Amino acid sequence: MSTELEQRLERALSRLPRPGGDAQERARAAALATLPPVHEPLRHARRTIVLAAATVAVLVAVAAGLAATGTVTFAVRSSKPAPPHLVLPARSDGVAAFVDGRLWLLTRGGARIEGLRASAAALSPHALYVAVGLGRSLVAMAPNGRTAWAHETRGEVEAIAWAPDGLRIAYVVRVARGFELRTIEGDGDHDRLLDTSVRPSRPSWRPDSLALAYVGAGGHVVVYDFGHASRKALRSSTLPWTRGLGSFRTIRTPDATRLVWAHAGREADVFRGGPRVSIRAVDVR
Amino acid sequence: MSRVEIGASVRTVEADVIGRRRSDAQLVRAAREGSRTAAAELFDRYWSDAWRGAYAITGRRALADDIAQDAFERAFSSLARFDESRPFGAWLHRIVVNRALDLLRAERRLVGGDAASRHELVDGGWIAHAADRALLEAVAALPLARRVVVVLRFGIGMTPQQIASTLELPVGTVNSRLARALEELRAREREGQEVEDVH
Repeated sequence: MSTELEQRLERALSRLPRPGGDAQERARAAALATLPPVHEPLRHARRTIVLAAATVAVLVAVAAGLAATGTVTFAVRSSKPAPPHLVLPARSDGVAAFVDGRLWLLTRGGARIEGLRASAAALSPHALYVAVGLGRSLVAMAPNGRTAWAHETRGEVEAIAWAPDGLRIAYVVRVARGFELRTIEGDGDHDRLLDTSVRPSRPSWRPDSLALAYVGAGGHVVVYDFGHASRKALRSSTLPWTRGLGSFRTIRTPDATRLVWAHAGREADVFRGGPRVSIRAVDVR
Repeated sequence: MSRVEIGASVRTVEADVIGRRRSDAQLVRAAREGSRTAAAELFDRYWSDAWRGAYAITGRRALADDIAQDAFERAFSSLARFDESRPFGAWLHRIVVNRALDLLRAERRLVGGDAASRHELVDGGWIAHAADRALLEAVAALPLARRVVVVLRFGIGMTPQQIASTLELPVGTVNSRLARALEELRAREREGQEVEDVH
Protein backbone atom coordinates (compact mmCIF):
# COMPACT_ATOMS: atom_id res chain seq x y z
CA MET A 1 0.00 0.00 0.00
CA SER A 2 1.48 3.35 -0.96
CA THR A 3 2.08 5.98 1.67
CA GLU A 4 0.87 9.53 1.54
CA LEU A 5 4.35 10.68 0.47
CA GLU A 6 4.44 8.16 -2.35
CA GLN A 7 1.05 9.33 -3.59
CA ARG A 8 2.23 12.92 -3.54
CA LEU A 9 5.37 11.94 -5.46
CA GLU A 10 3.28 10.21 -8.10
CA ARG A 11 1.04 13.24 -8.39
CA ALA A 12 3.91 15.75 -8.57
CA LEU A 13 5.89 13.72 -11.10
CA SER A 14 2.80 13.09 -13.21
CA ARG A 15 2.67 16.85 -13.76
CA LEU A 16 6.02 16.98 -15.47
CA PRO A 17 5.88 18.96 -18.69
CA ARG A 18 5.43 17.15 -21.97
CA PRO A 19 8.11 17.00 -24.64
CA GLY A 20 7.90 19.59 -27.37
CA GLY A 21 6.47 18.61 -30.73
CA ASP A 22 9.54 19.83 -32.61
CA ALA A 23 11.86 17.73 -30.51
CA GLN A 24 9.64 14.72 -31.06
CA GLU A 25 9.58 15.11 -34.83
CA ARG A 26 13.31 15.65 -34.95
CA ALA A 27 13.95 12.63 -32.77
CA ARG A 28 11.59 10.47 -34.77
CA ALA A 29 13.31 11.35 -38.05
CA ALA A 30 16.75 10.76 -36.55
CA ALA A 31 15.74 7.46 -34.98
CA LEU A 32 14.07 6.13 -38.12
CA ALA A 33 17.11 7.08 -40.15
CA THR A 34 19.17 4.61 -38.14
CA LEU A 35 17.12 1.62 -39.25
CA PRO A 36 18.84 -0.81 -41.56
CA PRO A 37 18.03 -0.19 -45.20
CA VAL A 38 15.42 -2.36 -46.83
CA HIS A 39 16.96 -4.23 -49.74
CA GLU A 40 14.30 -3.65 -52.28
CA PRO A 41 15.20 -2.69 -55.85
CA LEU A 42 12.78 0.20 -56.13
CA ARG A 43 13.71 1.70 -52.78
CA HIS A 44 17.37 1.19 -53.55
CA ALA A 45 17.04 3.08 -56.80
CA ARG A 46 15.12 5.84 -55.11
CA ARG A 47 17.73 6.06 -52.39
CA THR A 48 20.49 6.29 -54.97
CA ILE A 49 18.73 9.18 -56.64
CA VAL A 50 18.26 10.91 -53.30
CA LEU A 51 21.90 10.38 -52.41
CA ALA A 52 23.02 11.80 -55.72
CA ALA A 53 20.78 14.81 -55.24
CA ALA A 54 22.08 15.22 -51.71
CA THR A 55 25.67 15.15 -52.88
CA VAL A 56 24.92 17.81 -55.46
CA ALA A 57 23.25 19.90 -52.76
CA VAL A 58 26.32 19.65 -50.56
CA LEU A 59 28.58 20.65 -53.42
CA VAL A 60 26.33 23.61 -54.12
CA ALA A 61 26.49 24.58 -50.47
CA VAL A 62 30.26 24.38 -50.40
CA ALA A 63 30.52 26.31 -53.63
CA ALA A 64 28.18 28.95 -52.25
CA GLY A 65 30.33 29.21 -49.16
CA LEU A 66 33.45 29.58 -51.22
CA ALA A 67 31.89 32.20 -53.40
CA ALA A 68 30.64 34.15 -50.43
CA THR A 69 33.67 34.06 -48.21
CA GLY A 70 36.73 33.47 -50.32
CA THR A 71 38.51 31.02 -48.11
CA VAL A 72 36.75 28.41 -46.07
CA THR A 73 37.76 25.51 -43.97
CA PHE A 74 35.52 22.52 -43.67
CA ALA A 75 35.51 19.14 -42.10
CA VAL A 76 33.76 15.95 -43.05
CA ARG A 77 31.56 14.80 -40.23
CA SER A 78 29.91 11.44 -39.97
CA SER A 79 29.13 8.68 -37.52
CA LYS A 80 32.12 6.80 -38.89
CA PRO A 81 35.61 8.17 -38.42
CA ALA A 82 36.29 10.84 -40.97
CA PRO A 83 39.01 10.00 -43.43
CA PRO A 84 42.20 11.69 -42.29
CA HIS A 85 42.95 14.94 -44.01
CA LEU A 86 44.94 18.01 -43.25
CA VAL A 87 44.01 21.65 -43.55
CA LEU A 88 46.81 24.13 -43.93
CA PRO A 89 46.31 27.17 -41.68
CA ALA A 90 45.52 30.47 -43.33
CA ARG A 91 48.53 32.31 -44.75
CA SER A 92 50.77 29.28 -44.57
CA ASP A 93 52.42 27.97 -47.70
CA GLY A 94 52.87 24.33 -48.22
CA VAL A 95 51.51 21.06 -49.44
CA ALA A 96 49.79 18.48 -47.27
CA ALA A 97 48.08 15.23 -48.10
CA PHE A 98 46.99 11.93 -46.67
CA VAL A 99 47.39 9.06 -49.06
CA ASP A 100 46.45 5.54 -47.97
CA GLY A 101 46.73 6.50 -44.31
CA ARG A 102 50.15 8.06 -44.77
CA LEU A 103 50.91 11.71 -44.17
CA TRP A 104 52.92 13.83 -46.59
CA LEU A 105 53.73 17.38 -45.62
CA LEU A 106 56.01 20.07 -46.88
CA THR A 107 55.75 23.66 -45.70
CA ARG A 108 57.63 26.83 -46.38
CA GLY A 109 58.34 27.03 -42.65
CA GLY A 110 60.47 23.94 -42.97
CA ALA A 111 58.17 21.10 -41.90
CA ARG A 112 58.85 18.02 -43.94
CA ILE A 113 57.21 14.67 -43.36
CA GLU A 114 57.19 11.94 -45.93
CA GLY A 115 54.86 8.97 -45.77
CA LEU A 116 54.33 8.87 -42.03
CA ARG A 117 51.59 6.35 -41.14
CA ALA A 118 49.12 8.33 -38.99
CA SER A 119 45.47 8.24 -38.05
CA ALA A 120 44.96 12.03 -37.98
CA ALA A 121 46.96 15.25 -38.12
CA ALA A 122 46.61 18.99 -37.63
CA LEU A 123 49.02 21.85 -38.13
CA SER A 124 49.77 24.55 -35.57
CA PRO A 125 48.62 28.08 -36.51
CA HIS A 126 51.74 28.98 -38.47
CA ALA A 127 52.37 25.45 -39.65
CA LEU A 128 55.47 25.22 -37.48
CA TYR A 129 54.37 22.10 -35.67
CA VAL A 130 52.14 19.24 -36.62
CA ALA A 131 50.10 17.17 -34.16
CA VAL A 132 49.79 13.60 -35.34
CA GLY A 133 47.85 10.56 -34.14
CA LEU A 134 50.31 7.69 -34.02
CA GLY A 135 48.93 4.44 -32.65
CA ARG A 136 47.66 5.22 -29.16
CA SER A 137 49.52 8.51 -28.89
CA LEU A 138 49.12 12.12 -29.82
CA VAL A 139 52.50 13.40 -30.94
CA ALA A 140 53.63 16.94 -31.73
CA MET A 141 56.42 17.06 -34.26
CA ALA A 142 58.73 20.00 -34.81
CA PRO A 143 59.68 21.20 -38.30
CA ASN A 144 62.88 19.22 -38.23
CA GLY A 145 60.89 16.03 -37.78
CA ARG A 146 61.82 15.64 -34.14
CA THR A 147 59.19 14.77 -31.57
CA ALA A 148 58.43 17.84 -29.47
CA TRP A 149 56.23 15.86 -27.11
CA ALA A 150 54.13 12.70 -27.06
CA HIS A 151 51.01 12.06 -25.05
CA GLU A 152 49.67 8.56 -24.53
CA THR A 153 45.94 8.32 -25.32
CA ARG A 154 43.24 5.79 -24.42
CA GLY A 155 42.87 4.72 -28.02
CA GLU A 156 43.52 5.73 -31.58
CA VAL A 157 43.24 9.44 -32.30
CA GLU A 158 40.57 9.95 -34.95
CA ALA A 159 40.60 13.69 -35.48
CA ILE A 160 42.66 16.67 -34.35
CA ALA A 161 42.09 20.43 -34.48
CA TRP A 162 44.72 22.90 -33.30
CA ALA A 163 43.28 26.11 -31.88
CA PRO A 164 44.03 29.24 -33.90
CA ASP A 165 45.90 30.80 -30.97
CA GLY A 166 48.08 27.69 -30.77
CA LEU A 167 47.48 27.21 -27.06
CA ARG A 168 45.17 24.21 -27.20
CA ILE A 169 44.59 21.16 -29.29
CA ALA A 170 41.23 19.39 -29.43
CA TYR A 171 41.24 15.75 -30.40
CA VAL A 172 38.76 12.90 -30.71
CA VAL A 173 39.93 9.55 -29.45
CA ARG A 174 38.38 6.13 -29.93
CA VAL A 175 37.47 4.49 -26.62
CA ALA A 176 35.79 1.20 -25.75
CA ARG A 177 32.22 2.41 -26.27
CA GLY A 178 32.64 5.09 -28.89
CA PHE A 179 34.57 8.31 -29.14
CA GLU A 180 35.44 11.02 -26.65
CA LEU A 181 36.56 14.59 -27.11
CA ARG A 182 39.60 15.87 -25.22
CA THR A 183 41.79 18.93 -25.22
CA ILE A 184 45.45 19.25 -24.44
CA GLU A 185 47.63 22.33 -24.24
CA GLY A 186 49.96 23.08 -27.11
CA ASP A 187 52.97 22.04 -25.03
CA GLY A 188 51.49 18.63 -24.27
CA ASP A 189 50.33 19.43 -20.73
CA HIS A 190 46.94 19.39 -19.05
CA ASP A 191 45.10 16.77 -21.02
CA ARG A 192 41.42 17.14 -20.22
CA LEU A 193 38.17 15.37 -21.09
CA LEU A 194 35.62 17.63 -22.72
CA ASP A 195 32.83 15.23 -23.72
CA THR A 196 32.49 11.52 -23.07
CA SER A 197 30.55 10.73 -26.21
CA VAL A 198 30.92 12.43 -29.56
CA ARG A 199 30.90 11.61 -33.23
CA PRO A 200 34.34 11.06 -34.77
CA SER A 201 34.54 14.26 -36.75
CA ARG A 202 37.09 17.03 -36.67
CA PRO A 203 36.11 19.75 -34.19
CA SER A 204 36.07 23.33 -35.40
CA TRP A 205 37.54 26.18 -33.33
CA ARG A 206 36.08 29.64 -33.23
CA PRO A 207 38.82 31.97 -34.48
CA ASP A 208 39.22 33.55 -31.04
CA SER A 209 40.01 30.04 -29.71
CA LEU A 210 37.49 30.46 -26.92
CA ALA A 211 34.85 28.11 -28.29
CA LEU A 212 34.83 24.79 -30.03
CA ALA A 213 32.13 23.29 -32.21
CA TYR A 214 31.88 19.54 -32.54
CA VAL A 215 29.33 16.86 -33.29
CA GLY A 216 27.78 15.35 -30.17
CA ALA A 217 26.76 11.72 -29.86
CA GLY A 218 23.22 12.56 -30.91
CA GLY A 219 24.37 14.14 -34.15
CA HIS A 220 23.89 17.71 -32.99
CA VAL A 221 26.42 20.42 -33.33
CA VAL A 222 27.56 21.28 -29.82
CA VAL A 223 29.42 24.47 -29.01
CA TYR A 224 31.66 24.36 -25.97
CA ASP A 225 32.44 27.78 -24.59
CA PHE A 226 35.74 27.80 -22.70
CA GLY A 227 35.06 31.25 -21.28
CA HIS A 228 31.95 30.08 -19.46
CA ALA A 229 32.84 26.36 -19.30
CA SER A 230 29.42 25.68 -20.77
CA ARG A 231 28.03 23.61 -23.55
CA LYS A 232 25.18 24.43 -25.86
CA ALA A 233 23.63 21.95 -28.24
CA LEU A 234 22.39 23.62 -31.39
CA ARG A 235 18.96 22.20 -31.60
CA SER A 236 18.08 22.38 -35.24
CA SER A 237 21.14 20.58 -36.43
CA THR A 238 20.11 16.95 -36.24
CA LEU A 239 21.07 15.36 -39.46
CA PRO A 240 19.43 12.07 -40.22
CA TRP A 241 21.65 11.78 -43.24
CA THR A 242 24.78 11.59 -41.20
CA ARG A 243 24.52 7.89 -40.68
CA GLY A 244 25.54 5.93 -43.69
CA LEU A 245 25.92 8.90 -45.97
CA GLY A 246 28.75 10.52 -44.10
CA SER A 247 28.98 13.48 -46.37
CA PHE A 248 27.99 16.68 -44.74
CA ARG A 249 30.14 19.66 -44.21
CA THR A 250 30.75 22.41 -41.80
CA ILE A 251 32.09 25.59 -43.23
CA ARG A 252 33.42 28.21 -40.89
CA THR A 253 33.70 31.66 -42.30
CA PRO A 254 37.05 33.34 -41.72
CA ASP A 255 35.48 36.39 -40.07
CA ALA A 256 34.73 34.33 -36.98
CA THR A 257 31.05 34.70 -36.82
CA ARG A 258 29.44 31.94 -38.74
CA LEU A 259 29.44 28.22 -38.75
CA VAL A 260 27.54 26.81 -41.68
CA TRP A 261 26.35 23.27 -41.57
CA ALA A 262 25.14 22.18 -44.95
CA HIS A 263 22.55 19.47 -44.75
CA ALA A 264 22.95 16.70 -47.22
CA GLY A 265 19.36 17.33 -48.18
CA ARG A 266 18.30 20.74 -49.23
CA GLU A 267 19.02 23.26 -46.56
CA ALA A 268 21.78 24.57 -44.40
CA ASP A 269 21.85 25.95 -40.90
CA VAL A 270 23.83 29.05 -40.20
CA PHE A 271 25.09 29.38 -36.67
CA ARG A 272 26.17 32.82 -35.66
CA GLY A 273 28.94 33.08 -33.13
CA GLY A 274 29.16 35.22 -30.05
CA PRO A 275 28.09 34.62 -26.48
CA ARG A 276 24.60 33.60 -27.52
CA VAL A 277 24.29 31.42 -30.53
CA SER A 278 21.26 31.92 -32.67
CA ILE A 279 20.11 29.69 -35.44
CA ARG A 280 18.70 30.48 -38.80
CA ALA A 281 17.92 28.05 -41.57
CA VAL A 282 18.54 28.98 -45.15
CA ASP A 283 17.71 27.19 -48.31
CA VAL A 284 20.71 26.54 -50.50
CA ARG A 285 18.96 25.02 -53.44
CA MET B 1 -4.82 -11.36 -39.78
CA SER B 2 -6.45 -8.69 -41.90
CA ARG B 3 -5.08 -7.96 -45.31
CA VAL B 4 -5.60 -5.13 -47.72
CA GLU B 5 -5.24 -5.35 -51.45
CA ILE B 6 -3.10 -2.73 -53.09
CA GLY B 7 -3.15 -3.00 -56.86
CA ALA B 8 -2.47 -6.54 -57.91
CA SER B 9 -0.54 -7.39 -54.81
CA VAL B 10 -1.79 -8.42 -51.46
CA ARG B 11 0.26 -7.30 -48.56
CA THR B 12 -0.08 -7.25 -44.87
CA VAL B 13 -0.96 -3.84 -43.63
CA GLU B 14 1.72 -2.45 -41.37
CA ALA B 15 -0.71 -1.52 -38.69
CA ASP B 16 -2.33 -4.84 -39.46
CA VAL B 17 -4.78 -6.59 -37.20
CA ILE B 18 -6.92 -3.53 -37.03
CA GLY B 19 -8.21 -2.87 -33.57
CA ARG B 20 -5.58 -5.08 -31.95
CA ARG B 21 -2.45 -3.60 -30.54
CA ARG B 22 0.74 -5.29 -31.67
CA SER B 23 3.13 -6.32 -28.92
CA ASP B 24 6.52 -4.70 -28.54
CA ALA B 25 8.18 -7.93 -29.66
CA GLN B 26 6.10 -7.97 -32.86
CA LEU B 27 6.98 -4.36 -33.57
CA VAL B 28 10.67 -4.96 -32.90
CA ARG B 29 10.63 -7.95 -35.25
CA ALA B 30 8.95 -5.93 -37.99
CA ALA B 31 11.29 -2.97 -37.45
CA ARG B 32 14.29 -5.27 -37.73
CA GLU B 33 13.00 -6.34 -41.10
CA GLY B 34 12.93 -2.72 -42.14
CA SER B 35 9.37 -1.67 -41.32
CA ARG B 36 9.52 2.03 -40.58
CA THR B 37 5.87 2.01 -39.61
CA ALA B 38 6.54 -0.53 -36.88
CA ALA B 39 9.55 1.46 -35.70
CA ALA B 40 7.49 4.64 -35.70
CA GLU B 41 4.84 2.89 -33.61
CA LEU B 42 7.49 1.84 -31.10
CA PHE B 43 8.77 5.41 -31.07
CA ASP B 44 5.31 6.83 -30.42
CA ARG B 45 4.67 4.26 -27.72
CA TYR B 46 7.77 5.15 -25.71
CA TRP B 47 8.84 8.66 -26.68
CA SER B 48 6.90 10.47 -24.01
CA ASP B 49 8.02 8.19 -21.18
CA ALA B 50 11.63 8.24 -22.35
CA TRP B 51 11.61 12.03 -22.52
CA ARG B 52 9.91 12.44 -19.15
CA GLY B 53 12.37 10.03 -17.56
CA ALA B 54 15.29 12.00 -18.98
CA TYR B 55 13.71 15.26 -17.91
CA ALA B 56 12.99 14.10 -14.39
CA ILE B 57 16.59 12.92 -13.97
CA THR B 58 18.36 15.88 -15.56
CA GLY B 59 15.78 18.56 -14.94
CA ARG B 60 16.50 20.28 -18.22
CA ARG B 61 14.48 20.28 -21.40
CA ALA B 62 17.41 20.61 -23.77
CA LEU B 63 19.21 17.69 -22.17
CA ALA B 64 16.03 15.62 -22.11
CA ASP B 65 15.56 16.26 -25.85
CA ASP B 66 19.10 15.13 -26.55
CA ILE B 67 19.04 12.12 -24.29
CA ALA B 68 15.69 10.77 -25.44
CA GLN B 69 16.61 11.20 -29.08
CA ASP B 70 20.01 9.64 -28.57
CA ALA B 71 18.42 6.71 -26.75
CA PHE B 72 16.08 6.00 -29.64
CA GLU B 73 18.89 6.31 -32.17
CA ARG B 74 21.00 3.89 -30.18
CA ALA B 75 18.10 1.50 -29.64
CA PHE B 76 17.00 1.46 -33.27
CA SER B 77 20.51 1.09 -34.60
CA SER B 78 21.02 -1.88 -32.25
CA LEU B 79 17.73 -3.67 -32.87
CA ALA B 80 19.61 -6.60 -34.40
CA ARG B 81 21.23 -7.24 -31.03
CA PHE B 82 18.06 -6.76 -28.98
CA ASP B 83 17.05 -9.76 -26.90
CA GLU B 84 13.37 -10.25 -27.73
CA SER B 85 12.73 -12.12 -24.52
CA ARG B 86 13.24 -8.84 -22.64
CA PRO B 87 10.83 -5.90 -22.68
CA PHE B 88 11.73 -3.15 -25.14
CA GLY B 89 10.62 -0.44 -22.72
CA ALA B 90 13.02 -1.55 -20.00
CA TRP B 91 15.87 -1.71 -22.50
CA LEU B 92 15.12 1.78 -23.77
CA HIS B 93 14.82 3.18 -20.26
CA ARG B 94 18.16 1.67 -19.37
CA ILE B 95 19.72 3.51 -22.30
CA VAL B 96 17.99 6.73 -21.25
CA VAL B 97 19.08 6.43 -17.65
CA ASN B 98 22.67 5.52 -18.48
CA ARG B 99 22.95 8.34 -20.97
CA ALA B 100 21.47 10.82 -18.50
CA LEU B 101 23.87 9.70 -15.78
CA ASP B 102 26.84 9.84 -18.15
CA LEU B 103 25.97 13.38 -19.17
CA LEU B 104 25.38 14.62 -15.64
CA ARG B 105 28.58 13.04 -14.36
CA ALA B 106 30.57 14.45 -17.25
CA GLU B 107 29.05 17.85 -16.62
CA ARG B 108 29.91 17.62 -12.95
CA ARG B 109 33.50 16.81 -13.86
CA LEU B 110 33.68 19.63 -16.36
CA VAL B 111 31.77 22.34 -14.61
CA GLY B 112 31.94 21.25 -10.99
CA GLY B 113 29.15 21.48 -8.46
CA ASP B 114 25.92 19.62 -8.47
CA ALA B 115 23.99 19.64 -11.69
CA ALA B 116 20.87 19.59 -9.58
CA SER B 117 21.54 23.18 -8.65
CA ARG B 118 20.55 24.08 -12.20
CA HIS B 119 17.51 21.83 -12.15
CA GLU B 120 14.56 23.33 -13.98
CA LEU B 121 12.20 20.85 -12.39
CA VAL B 122 11.27 23.38 -9.81
CA ASP B 123 11.34 26.43 -12.03
CA GLY B 124 9.06 25.35 -14.80
CA GLY B 125 6.10 27.41 -13.75
CA TRP B 126 3.89 24.44 -14.43
CA ILE B 127 3.67 23.29 -10.84
CA ALA B 128 0.39 24.28 -9.36
CA HIS B 129 0.92 23.50 -5.71
CA ALA B 130 3.60 24.84 -3.40
CA ALA B 131 3.74 21.44 -1.73
CA ASP B 132 4.58 19.79 -5.04
CA ARG B 133 7.23 22.38 -5.62
CA ALA B 134 8.91 21.71 -2.29
CA LEU B 135 8.74 17.99 -2.90
CA LEU B 136 10.26 18.26 -6.37
CA GLU B 137 13.00 20.48 -4.99
CA ALA B 138 13.76 17.72 -2.55
CA VAL B 139 13.73 15.11 -5.34
CA ALA B 140 16.09 17.27 -7.43
CA ALA B 141 18.46 17.46 -4.47
CA LEU B 142 18.64 13.67 -4.00
CA PRO B 143 21.89 11.96 -4.94
CA LEU B 144 21.72 10.78 -8.55
CA ALA B 145 21.41 7.07 -7.78
CA ARG B 146 18.43 7.67 -5.52
CA ARG B 147 16.86 10.28 -7.77
CA VAL B 148 16.86 7.77 -10.63
CA VAL B 149 14.98 5.07 -8.75
CA VAL B 150 12.46 7.60 -7.44
CA VAL B 151 11.82 8.89 -10.96
CA LEU B 152 11.47 5.40 -12.41
CA ARG B 153 9.21 4.25 -9.57
CA PHE B 154 6.93 7.23 -9.12
CA GLY B 155 7.37 9.15 -12.37
CA ILE B 156 7.35 6.29 -14.88
CA GLY B 157 5.45 3.83 -12.70
CA MET B 158 7.90 0.93 -12.84
CA THR B 159 7.85 -1.79 -10.22
CA PRO B 160 11.02 -2.39 -8.20
CA GLN B 161 11.55 -5.56 -10.26
CA GLN B 162 11.33 -3.59 -13.50
CA ILE B 163 13.70 -0.96 -12.14
CA ALA B 164 16.12 -3.69 -11.09
CA SER B 165 15.98 -5.14 -14.60
CA THR B 166 16.40 -1.72 -16.19
CA LEU B 167 19.36 -0.69 -14.07
CA GLU B 168 20.78 -4.22 -13.85
CA LEU B 169 20.75 -4.08 -10.08
CA PRO B 170 19.52 -6.58 -7.49
CA VAL B 171 15.92 -5.91 -6.43
CA GLY B 172 17.15 -5.54 -2.86
CA THR B 173 19.42 -2.67 -3.87
CA VAL B 174 16.54 -0.92 -5.63
CA ASN B 175 14.30 -1.34 -2.58
CA SER B 176 16.94 -0.02 -0.24
CA ARG B 177 17.64 2.99 -2.49
CA LEU B 178 13.92 3.70 -2.62
CA ALA B 179 13.59 3.40 1.13
CA ARG B 180 16.56 5.71 1.74
CA ALA B 181 15.29 8.21 -0.81
CA LEU B 182 11.86 8.31 0.84
CA GLU B 183 13.50 8.65 4.23
CA GLU B 184 15.58 11.57 2.95
CA LEU B 185 12.53 13.24 1.41
CA ARG B 186 10.61 12.91 4.69
CA ALA B 187 13.56 14.34 6.61
CA ARG B 188 13.73 17.32 4.26
CA GLU B 189 10.01 17.89 4.65
CA ARG B 190 10.37 17.81 8.43
CA GLU B 191 13.23 20.32 8.22
CA GLY B 192 11.12 22.56 6.02
CA GLN B 193 8.24 22.29 8.45
CA GLU B 194 10.48 23.21 11.38
CA VAL B 195 11.74 26.27 9.55
CA GLU B 196 8.17 27.35 8.88
CA ASP B 197 7.27 26.81 12.55
CA VAL B 198 10.18 28.98 13.65
CA HIS B 199 9.01 31.80 11.45
